[in-house]
Amino acid sequence: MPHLKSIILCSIIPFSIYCSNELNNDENRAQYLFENLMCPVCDGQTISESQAQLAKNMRDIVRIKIEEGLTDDQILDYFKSKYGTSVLSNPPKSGFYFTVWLIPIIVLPSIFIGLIFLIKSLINPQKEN
Amino acid sequence: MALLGTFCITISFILSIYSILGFLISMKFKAEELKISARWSSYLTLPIISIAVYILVYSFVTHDFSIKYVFNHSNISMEPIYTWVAIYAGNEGSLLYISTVISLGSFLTIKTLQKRIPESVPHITIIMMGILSFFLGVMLFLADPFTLLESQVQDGRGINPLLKHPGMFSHPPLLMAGLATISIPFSITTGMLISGNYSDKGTEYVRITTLIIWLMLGIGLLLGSWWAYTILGWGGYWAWDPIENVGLMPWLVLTALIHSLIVQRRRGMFRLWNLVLINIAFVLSQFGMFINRGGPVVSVHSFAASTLGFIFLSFMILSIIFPTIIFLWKYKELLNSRKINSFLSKESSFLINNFLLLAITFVTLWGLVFPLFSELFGKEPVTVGTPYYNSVNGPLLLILILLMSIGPILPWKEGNIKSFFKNIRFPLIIFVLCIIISLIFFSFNFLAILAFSSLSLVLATILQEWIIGTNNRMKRLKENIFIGFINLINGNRTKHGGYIIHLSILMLAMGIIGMNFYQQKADYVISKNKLLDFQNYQVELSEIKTKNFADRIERTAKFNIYKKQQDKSEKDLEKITELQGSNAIYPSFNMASVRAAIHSTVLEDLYIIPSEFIGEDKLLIRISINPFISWLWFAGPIFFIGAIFTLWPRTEKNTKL
Repeated sequence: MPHLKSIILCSIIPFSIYCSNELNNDENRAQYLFENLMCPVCDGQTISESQAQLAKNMRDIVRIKIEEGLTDDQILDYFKSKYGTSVLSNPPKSGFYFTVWLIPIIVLPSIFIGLIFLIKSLINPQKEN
Repeated sequence: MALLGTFCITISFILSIYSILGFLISMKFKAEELKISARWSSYLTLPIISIAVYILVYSFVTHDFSIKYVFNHSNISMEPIYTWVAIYAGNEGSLLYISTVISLGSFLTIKTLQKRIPESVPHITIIMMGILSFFLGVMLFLADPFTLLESQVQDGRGINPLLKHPGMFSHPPLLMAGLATISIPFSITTGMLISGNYSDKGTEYVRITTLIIWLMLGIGLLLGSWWAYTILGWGGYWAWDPIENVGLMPWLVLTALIHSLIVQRRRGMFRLWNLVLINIAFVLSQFGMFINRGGPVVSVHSFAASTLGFIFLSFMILSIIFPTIIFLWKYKELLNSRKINSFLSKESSFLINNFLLLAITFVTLWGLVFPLFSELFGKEPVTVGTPYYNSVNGPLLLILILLMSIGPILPWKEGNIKSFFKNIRFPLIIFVLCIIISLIFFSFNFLAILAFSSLSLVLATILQEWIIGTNNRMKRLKENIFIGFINLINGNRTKHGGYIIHLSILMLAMGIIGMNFYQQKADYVISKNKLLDFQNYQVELSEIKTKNFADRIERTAKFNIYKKQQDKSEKDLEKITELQGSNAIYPSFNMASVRAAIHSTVLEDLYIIPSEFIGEDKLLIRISINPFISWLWFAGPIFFIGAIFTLWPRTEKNTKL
């Protein structure tokens, strides 16, 4: 039974799926926020990656704000009011900036549906005879 | 010496212009001899530009700091081996490198095609020399690598410290060469189109060059990831940085092209479509050049930044207009009446594959230009970062992987539902089994489980094909399992090489999915000789050393890594390994270069970045568990082998088309 071998071989992958204990919540939040804030003085790095002094200070501020009990959104807003929208590593999902999300959401499925119709129209009419 | 270098660039520039004019005139007046002379002058650009490269190398090795470029990118203490890196470390030198690669590519192409499709060679050469003369012209008039320094100096500024990494010997040159040589298949197809001889012989050569370029870009991108992972101390392998994106986008389009070229080869369809894909890839490669050299977006790759943005933007616009005109003028010649027979066919699955790859390209491009777009509308500056790309491209990639399992088992022309289900039955069973097993035993992150299980689905279809094929040979031809398998995949290298590449893509996906869903990271302040518990490890900071070099202050931290004890009463710690990470500061570049301490296993990497040294015995570290990341690096060689296997020329014996 050749398929048996493939079954065994393929099952290896999910078995190796990795399972680990969750880190404590505050640290996870801090790391998440680091990745969502850009370092204003670096070229295209988040404060998570950057070695710049400003990024270090910003990381400290994030931790302090978490300890003060602020929510993620409040912390992001704080930095936004201080450094402008470009400090967020993602455009806000509101107003004009929403178009960055909207275009992929609307354009891609419509092209895909168009493609399906294209294939349908390309299908050789001889087939039906 | 410097004068001779400039002279060489001038001569090659004149030669390339002469070649263009020569071909134009010879075609007008049917002058065969002029044609030969024009062709030879295109060949001659290669040796002459090589002399220029040699002079630059010589100036680096002899520390001729009177040349500005040498002064800016090397110093006396630089090891001679880094000359190779210094050549392309800045704007001027990388232009020289790109010109050399284009010149070499043109030489090989023209020489080969002269034997196969001599009627199109003049048109192809004109386009190639046009592109080459652009780069030579930019160097000659705006960015001469042999410009002299105004004042006399004793020592140079030194090489960018971030480039001192083994990956840097191949990542930038591969990517630059890949991006530059997309001009070759572009010139061939457009040239053939203008000459009115759009032949299969030419297309076969296009296929081979495309595969080579695709391989170069792929390996180049992967090496870049490896570099980012080990030296930049980002803790990541891909940041969706604009410059990374402009390298990725042509690669994606070429991936689409490679697939649809199979259809053209096999069924003579999609000729027009493939031409469009090549044109898109070419435009994107020029877009990459523009973004990289004084483009308007911020990126960590500012090495070649220059004030030439406008020139490259103009050339990019030209590279959109020119092919579009040719296309509109000639496209009717490529139309054919072949139709797709059914949804359940390789043809339609290749079309959907093309759509998905282009969709990913489009979404990436959209994210890249959105900040400019929003500034155009007078909005506040904005950043489009990793979360956008991940959330938009993730689902598309997942569908692409699912398609990888369906596409290969679909037949050409027309399939029927019955045989389709017969072929996908076992892989599907495995897919469902995987989901159930992981739901029972492992995590409850459904997206991750779906993604991992899709990988098994693809793997199962490939293995099924190989196992059944080998089995048939064993029965029919009485070959043993090993010989049978080798003969099977040797019989159709394009197809089975493709499967090997698919395997490497699965490995890549494995690493990417693991990192995206299961990475754990945290910052800790760690003191000397104290144990830190992290996941299944215990980390001990054993030593901190500070060393002063001429160009940098380097601080090294040594760690002992122990296995975490299950039983607290046990006294002896089980030591796994010793690791070392460093953080070097280069005052003259105002730059830090961090090397992470990495303990790599098949399942996960323990990854420690020494972020900040606090006094003599304390250290702030970023520590993370990176699941399956090493699969990314294993995927590289498999990808390479698969591509080479596909490219390996057929011998006379097994030629069947």
